[in-house]
Amino acid sequence: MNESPDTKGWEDHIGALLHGELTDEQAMSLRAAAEHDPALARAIDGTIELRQIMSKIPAEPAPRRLRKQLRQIPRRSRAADRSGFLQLRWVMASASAVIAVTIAVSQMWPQGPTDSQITQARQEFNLVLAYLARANRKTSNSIRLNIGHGFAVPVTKNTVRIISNQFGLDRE
Amino acid sequence: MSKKFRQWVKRYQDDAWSLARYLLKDASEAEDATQEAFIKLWNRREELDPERIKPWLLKVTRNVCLDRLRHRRLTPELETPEVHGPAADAQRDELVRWLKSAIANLEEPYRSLVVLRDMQQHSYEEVAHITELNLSQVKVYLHRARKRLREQLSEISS
Repeated sequence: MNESPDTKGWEDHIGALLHGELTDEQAMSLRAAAEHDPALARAIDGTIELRQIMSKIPAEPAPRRLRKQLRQIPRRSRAADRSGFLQLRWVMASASAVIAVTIAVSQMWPQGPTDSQITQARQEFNLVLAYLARANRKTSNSIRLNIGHGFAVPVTKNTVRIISNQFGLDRE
Repeated sequence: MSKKFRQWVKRYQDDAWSLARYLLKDASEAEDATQEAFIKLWNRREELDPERIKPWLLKVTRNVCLDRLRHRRLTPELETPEVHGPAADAQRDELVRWLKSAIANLEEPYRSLVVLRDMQQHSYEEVAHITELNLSQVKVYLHRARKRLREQLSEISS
């Protein structure tokens, strides 16, 4: 756009005009200047026209898929909270079972266990681990049901693996 | 509270989406950013002033978009698309189409300012809050952005 040097000097006034900040006196002097300066007149018209066009551009409606996802945020958030609570409950129950068996075993054989007692203890441990595996599956299903596949890696799976490694049970 | 949240979704989803769309120039990323902003709104719903939800949400939406743009700098910039929307009437108008594209090509913070003030008609104070600029910066930058658009418009129409 070919702006005259005068137009550049009026730029602040054009801005102020759109911001609604021109005093009556300033508005009159701007109008008077525009009458003698076609470039300034075009700049004012162009700015006002642009502003009018922009104000009439409608906001793009959010896509249907996004609308649905946004509406589901409260339900998904609650489901995630519930799953977290359920998962914690199962982990706590499983951990308590492991501790209880460990204490029971240590109290039963204060002098040191015999081979058959060790075998029996391992069998009982396997029973506990089977319980943990069940807890794992149940938690996983619950998470999958509520949140989706991506989150279904429950803590109990790691718990089973760590305990198994500790006692060498997975090598038998 | 979820009823209230659904009302907020209904009222503000288009503005948040539209802002994200202009800033990110990528529909699926704009969807993710909008969703991220609304999840933040849900998580903070108890702490926020119900009268200030919209500016807060748009500020978060903008910040989420700017974060994504910063990450995107590491990868090649997406080709600037023509900004399409289902607003069929407006799209038929060649000038509006050109203008949307020109706005999408403005740099920050000019793009946000034009979208928030000239398209979405927020007050200067709200725009200042959303963009975290002061009032005089908002006015100066807006003026520059409009001037740039006006000059481009003048070039294509001459």
